[in-house]
Amino acid sequence: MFALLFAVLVGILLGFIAGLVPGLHPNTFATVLSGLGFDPLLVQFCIIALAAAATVFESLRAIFLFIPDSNTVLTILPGHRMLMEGKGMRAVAVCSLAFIASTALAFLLLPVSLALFPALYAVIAPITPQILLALSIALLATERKPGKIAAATLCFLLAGFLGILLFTQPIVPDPLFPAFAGLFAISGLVMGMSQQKPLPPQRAAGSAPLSLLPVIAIGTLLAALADLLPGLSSPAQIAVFASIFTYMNSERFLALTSSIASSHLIFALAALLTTGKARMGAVAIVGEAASSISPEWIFALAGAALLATGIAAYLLMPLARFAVPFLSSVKQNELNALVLAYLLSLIFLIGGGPAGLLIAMVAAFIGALPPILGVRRTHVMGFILLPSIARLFI
Amino acid sequence: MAEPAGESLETDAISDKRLALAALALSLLGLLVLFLYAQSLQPRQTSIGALAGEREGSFVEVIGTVSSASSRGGSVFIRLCDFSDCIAVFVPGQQADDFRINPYLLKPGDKLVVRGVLKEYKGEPELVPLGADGLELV
Repeated sequence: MFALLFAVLVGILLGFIAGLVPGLHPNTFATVLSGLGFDPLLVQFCIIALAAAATVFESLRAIFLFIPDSNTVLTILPGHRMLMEGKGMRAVAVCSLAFIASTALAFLLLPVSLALFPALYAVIAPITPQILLALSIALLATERKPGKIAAATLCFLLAGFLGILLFTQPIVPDPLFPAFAGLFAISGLVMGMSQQKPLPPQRAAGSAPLSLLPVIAIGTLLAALADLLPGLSSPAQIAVFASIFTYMNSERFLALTSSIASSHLIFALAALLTTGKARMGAVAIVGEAASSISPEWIFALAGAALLATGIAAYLLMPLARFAVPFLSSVKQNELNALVLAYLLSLIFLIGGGPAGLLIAMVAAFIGALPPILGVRRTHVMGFILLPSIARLFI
Repeated sequence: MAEPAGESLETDAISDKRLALAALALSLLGLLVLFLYAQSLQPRQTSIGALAGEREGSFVEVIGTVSSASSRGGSVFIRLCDFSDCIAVFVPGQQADDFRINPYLLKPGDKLVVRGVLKEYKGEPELVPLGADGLELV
């Protein structure tokens, strides 16, 4: 028992490092851990805690440094906006609540998901292309005016063609990092540098944002879809679609994306048992290492994820309080330039070398289009939506 | 006073239009360059036995017969053999939908072309298929 707890604590520590340091992906740690020859069960607990904690800590990186990954790719948009409005601490409080509440709710729903997933998967899987296509059209239609819809469609298609090219051609082994960095971070950082806005003083977080609990509950339920729709590769896609149907401001969208990102891990464990599909790297690695996959094993790992999420989310606010004075003392332009240089170096080193840089550059041009054309940047999620639709239709 | 403000707005709009056109042109040009670059990438055809001489990260193409295929945790593990040797082929679960064929349906005796990157896992070489044509039945 103590050994398992220790493994979870080690996982949280590694998740802290993987979540805050861009380029150190949790899957890299997980792969290394699984090859070290420790007790397989301890390693599995450690990997799940690592994945859960990394998702939580990545939100700090997304809000304060504008550096996304596939889980937090949409967190940077409302999170950074709130930071530039002086509400960075509030953004962290919203994320903390969403992480804790959604993971707890997902844990409570685990027996239901284990019972319902096989039937739901059988119903949903054959009509996934139609669902994705309909939701993508609805997403574009939310721009309302014909000119804006046309501009959004252009951004969606350009990003989609980039996705199709990268997912079907052997340009780099893992195109997600350079592409997401270009679509969201690099374009945002460069445009932010041209605007030269200083970081405003940050206000206190205020009372716990309990009014967001219904949004968090919706996000948790939707997270299950990320594992049931075979065309979806990221929980962020679900968040984009969810934003079509309900009123969204920055706080609500942040709560939605955070709740989907953290509860996705628990539903991914349920999906591994019921559908045999591992949609998350960490779940795939523990699934491969497990001698048998049973409901008891799933519950135990989900408990580890819940514990790790709780501890990591509890640490978010103190860490943010530590980060804010430091970030306020640095000139935003200099910080953006530093982050940009770091990102480009990382892309060169681990994102495919010169080819990775080329991908990031093309993605950055496409990512710059939505703000210039006056439409939402989420339309460039066509990068993963269009390949999913195309793959499932062909 | 209104006129300069109007002029300024007009100038901004033109500037945005030019900026949009520039971003659009560069996006299209970039996509074209990426496409042409992808077309220029050709895997090196080799035998499985000769992979020992290849460096990690090489883009290679081998043809062989599936001696075993199993899935675990969503990932697919294939043992591919030719006249010279055998090698492990690893298809990560998250990429299993990327190929033109369904890797879960592979069975012993299937003749398979694998185009992918040579990697090392726990000291042993393995092939990770890449792109939609990374796995092809012949």
